[in-house]
Amino acid sequence: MELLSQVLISGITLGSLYALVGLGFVVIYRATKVVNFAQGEMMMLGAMLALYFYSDLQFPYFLAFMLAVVLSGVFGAGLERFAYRPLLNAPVVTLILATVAVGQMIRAGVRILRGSEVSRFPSILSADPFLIGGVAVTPLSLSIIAIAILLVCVFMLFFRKTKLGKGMEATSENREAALLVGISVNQTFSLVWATSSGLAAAAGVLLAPLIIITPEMGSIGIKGFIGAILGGFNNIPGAIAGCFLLGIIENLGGVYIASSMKDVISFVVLVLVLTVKPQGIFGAAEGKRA
Amino acid sequence: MRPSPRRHVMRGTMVLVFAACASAPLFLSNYPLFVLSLAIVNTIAVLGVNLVMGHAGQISLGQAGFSAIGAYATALLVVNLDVSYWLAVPLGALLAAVSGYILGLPALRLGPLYVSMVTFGFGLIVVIIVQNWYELANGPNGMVVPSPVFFGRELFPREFHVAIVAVAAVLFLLARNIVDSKHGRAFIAIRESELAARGMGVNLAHYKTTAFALGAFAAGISGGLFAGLAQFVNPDAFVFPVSILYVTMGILGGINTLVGAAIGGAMLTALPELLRGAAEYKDFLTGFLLLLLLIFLPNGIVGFIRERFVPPPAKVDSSDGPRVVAHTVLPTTLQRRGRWENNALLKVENLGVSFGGLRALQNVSLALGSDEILSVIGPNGAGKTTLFNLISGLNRPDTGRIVLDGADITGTSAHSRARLGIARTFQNLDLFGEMSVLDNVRVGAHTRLRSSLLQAALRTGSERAEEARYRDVAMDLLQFVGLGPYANQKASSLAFGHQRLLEIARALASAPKLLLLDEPAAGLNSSELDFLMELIRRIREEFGISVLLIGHTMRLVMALSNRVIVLDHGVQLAEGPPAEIQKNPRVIEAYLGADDA
Amino acid sequence: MSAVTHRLGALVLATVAATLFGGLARAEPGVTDNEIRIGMWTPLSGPVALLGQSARDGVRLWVKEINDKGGVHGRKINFISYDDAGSPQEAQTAIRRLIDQDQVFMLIAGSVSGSTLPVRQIITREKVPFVSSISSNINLMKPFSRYIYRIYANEDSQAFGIINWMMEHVKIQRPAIIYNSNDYGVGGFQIYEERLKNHYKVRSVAAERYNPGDQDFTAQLLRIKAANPDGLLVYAFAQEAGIIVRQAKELGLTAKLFGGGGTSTPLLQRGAGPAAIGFTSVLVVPEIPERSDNPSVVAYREKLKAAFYPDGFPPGRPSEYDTAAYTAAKITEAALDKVGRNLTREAFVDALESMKNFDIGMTFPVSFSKDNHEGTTLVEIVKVAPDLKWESVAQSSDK
Repeated sequence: MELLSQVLISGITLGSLYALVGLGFVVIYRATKVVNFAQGEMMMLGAMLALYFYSDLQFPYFLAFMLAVVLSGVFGAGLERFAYRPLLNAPVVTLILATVAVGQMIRAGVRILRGSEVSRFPSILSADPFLIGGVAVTPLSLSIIAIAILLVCVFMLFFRKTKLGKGMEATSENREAALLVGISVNQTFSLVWATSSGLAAAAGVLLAPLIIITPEMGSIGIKGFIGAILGGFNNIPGAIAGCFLLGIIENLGGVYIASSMKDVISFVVLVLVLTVKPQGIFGAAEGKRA
Repeated sequence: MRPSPRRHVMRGTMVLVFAACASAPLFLSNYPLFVLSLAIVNTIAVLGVNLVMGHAGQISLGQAGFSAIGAYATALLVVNLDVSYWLAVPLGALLAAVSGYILGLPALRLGPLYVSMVTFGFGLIVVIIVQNWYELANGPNGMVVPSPVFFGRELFPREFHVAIVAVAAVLFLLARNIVDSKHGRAFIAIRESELAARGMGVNLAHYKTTAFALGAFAAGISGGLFAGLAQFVNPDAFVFPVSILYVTMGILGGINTLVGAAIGGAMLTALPELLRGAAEYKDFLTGFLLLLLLIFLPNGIVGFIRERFVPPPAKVDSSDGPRVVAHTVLPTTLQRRGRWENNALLKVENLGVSFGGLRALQNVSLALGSDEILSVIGPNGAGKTTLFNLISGLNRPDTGRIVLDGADITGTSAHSRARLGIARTFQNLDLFGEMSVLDNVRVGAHTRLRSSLLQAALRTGSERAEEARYRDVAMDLLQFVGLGPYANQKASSLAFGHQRLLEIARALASAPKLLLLDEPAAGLNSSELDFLMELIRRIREEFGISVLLIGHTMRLVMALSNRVIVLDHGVQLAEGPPAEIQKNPRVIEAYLGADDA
Repeated sequence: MSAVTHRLGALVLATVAATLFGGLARAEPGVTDNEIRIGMWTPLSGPVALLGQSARDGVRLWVKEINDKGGVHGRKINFISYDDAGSPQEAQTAIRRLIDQDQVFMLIAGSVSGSTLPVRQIITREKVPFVSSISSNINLMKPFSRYIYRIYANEDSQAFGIINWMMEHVKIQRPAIIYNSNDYGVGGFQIYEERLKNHYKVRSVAAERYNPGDQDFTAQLLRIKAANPDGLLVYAFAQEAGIIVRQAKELGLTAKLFGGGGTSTPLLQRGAGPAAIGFTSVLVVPEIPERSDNPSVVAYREKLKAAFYPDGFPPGRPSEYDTAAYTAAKITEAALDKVGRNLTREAFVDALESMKNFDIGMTFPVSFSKDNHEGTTLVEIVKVAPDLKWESVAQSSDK
């Protein structure tokens, strides 16, 4: 029983990593209908920037954090302007591939600039475990779970209550109508990408103590994406719940079935879920009237 | 079929290219020859990508996974079971094809985002499985593949090269045959508009899974050939970047062409050789190249050449509306004469449907006999198109049933209804824009063409005869609606009014018993309207096709209809001859609103 | 015979003689009157670029030095290196380019196992001498080839070394292992299993596997923890090992931690932080190149910095792949020197096989013989000290 509890808790911790990354995916998708295969690399870029400010330039932690987030946001807006805006009316495949290409460029670019870096970011919270009822947790992982949930709530409110957020939703639903109503599509998209990139950077810095900073650390991004699909890509709480669920499934599968097959298990679960419920476990049916 | 001069040039070039490749061992030394062999092997995989993504419009981010299946199956059959290499390769490809088919199944219900995820995941999973399954093939250490043997003689790389060229040539030929056939047109139709394709009788499930299977088959052959060429298989050779490389090759060449596969494959195999010095910058440059391609050259090199150098087909002056070609006789193949007594062609009984809590239709009934034109009118949102969607099968009703020619078709799929004799046009037009005008009509005849995929691939006599016959039929139909001169133009380039006529020609090609016209007159000017009315009249009289028509244009409705049905808010208000309906107070109220005092 | 026939005969004889001897003199690929071509294919881009860049630098440095001295027996070294990006496909084309087009005399250093094993056949078929300093996979030597040499301890020897240390010196009673599913990890696992079963007669309490690129090891570590081991062998590369070590601590795993050769780099501590203290691993060279104050290593560092990195080394450099490649180059030089002016591949290989206790102070002494081309079986046991630096503990050998 203790093992099971530990597996679940660790699964939730893992899921919170995925959730932080997955949130960025969903934000972009909600607003632009684009799947950003480069989200993981944006995260890595943010972490690398923060590392540069903190380790190389010896800035204080919070300053390095802020700078990384802001610069990433600017970078994201730049990407939107030069790489994605020209593809606004292209078929979905094209955009997906464009994000794959951008991801590759970011990864290769970082490797060129920093070499095969392996680094740590010191965490502000301790990573020493303490036991709760026989289950080992660390303050660090608890804080990440808390932050993930907090961010989800923030973004949900943002999309539902604020004018900017609702404008983003409108733009994704119907671009022409949004234009007619006076929403600047270009500006909105820029903001969306900037926000998502900044969010990715923050995730990168938060996650860095857990997964170590290397040019390849972005590969966790795909897990966030899978989790979001599992839960239901078109609504935020569903997507995030899916990410947590993915973490749990991976750990359950890994511990009780076969640890080297946990990716396979997750994938099979994903396909099964999608076959039965294409909109994801918690997703609302996206109706398109024939 | 009389191929145009352009096709002659293309064909000649391809033959030359293949001949040059086959004779390469005579004048290339080992290293460049190896690069060429590798390029051709890659090209075969890219051919698969072009079929799945370019032609059928699906997404495949896991092509390398299918190559892996082909490569490993070949290696295992040869090493463990002593199967001849030349048998092992097609067997491996078949296994890959089956996997492709299975992978295509989730694609049926999912949008492109999800399909990209599923195919991506598949590619990852194959590598993980092979890497971890140590007993199968040494896991990460890989296994050695002996040199392919031909009639007892070990083949040297130079001789094997010729075999590779031969296989590639055969595959290209088969692919071209498929693309040129009804199946190829069906793929493109799916890519352009799934809805319209269903309406024309294209079985989406069948074709989507077939597309994946074909793409996987090509990748499997590629993998098997790679195993013989490199004489070693290990999981590292099939990781995700390889899948992306194949897609990049496809896009570079021109993803919706076959020639593009060869161009992209050759260029991107040779490029690393030229960029050997660039090392660290190579990854960055290839990513950058892909991005540039996507933004500036989405149709690839072939697309670029076509746009710049190939003149568009001569545009006939379309300022004077379409001409009716006098006395066009619809070939007997399209003539259906039947007499359905007592309005028994179509019976709709108590049809009702709701969408998300909104009652779109409630208790609608109608009956249609032979040689009848029945119009459905009503204010916007009355549920007219919904009624059409139910009859043509794009939606399922919650209550009621639909009977066509005595058979209950309430549960039948849309594409099957096309086969049974229902054809339709669309309110907002749903043409296959990238296809030619003629090909649009030929897709309409999809259900009439009987050749299987295999027959098409092999270009059997009967398949060719069928194609020729229905090509003529399509041409005749174009003449009938007055679009003959535009046959080779891209459908999306037609004027609006002509596009409407094209939809009608396309619908007629299936020799329907029942034709559903959804607001065929919307947006037409006065002379176009006259022509349309004449056309519909002839359809009923000469071809014996009954017509169900949605219209707002009262002139057309009143002049043509035998009977009129009025819908309002999903409910049937009235039914009767046009003159009666015009004077019906409830109808007037529905259109104009109640009299406010 | 007539005079004409005499002269014809003489002409023919002369021509034949000229062709034979002239041809012999030209017959050796990669060797001309004033140069020897040496080739290398290695990952210079991609995730494992560190290894290839290290190795290439090691060779480049040697080439620079030896050419400055005038070469070997009047021939300068023409060094050709190609990037294979760690991809088997590119390795296949690169090797053919080196052998067929560039006609190199020999190959040096090589690539990671995944890109070396596939081309092994070609190398042996074309009889190109190859002195390997990257791939530690034992299949490189199977079947045995006259032309392939390795200058540091292979996987088996490395695994022997650390397992030996675990079981005999630290006296682990309940061993467990976590390993990468790639060839490196699987190789280590197989030795671990075999040694435990046959030699130590101890049962392994847990054996968990993960895949390259994994970033979370909770599932594996939880299963391991449930088996309650007192020693855990981590057969991973530094990036993953860093996460594993840290996560093990976070999950409350108290077993002592050991690692295979891939973990003994300063990148481990960079990734794991204080959790790495006490981690014991094997090193294939006797000194940590980044820090050692062994004079030859110091000299290498300084020369490397002056030649290629005046602004400072990138992270992780110089690595053991630097010193291993440099040693491979030096032993090549020694063999070339021994053969002399009349240079052929066969003579070169003979010279290599005669090398005994070749030691320039950067690797363990290398010895070859007619039927053994594994240069050494020695490894160094190293441990992470409280100041987070690697320190030497002992030298270990299999058997």
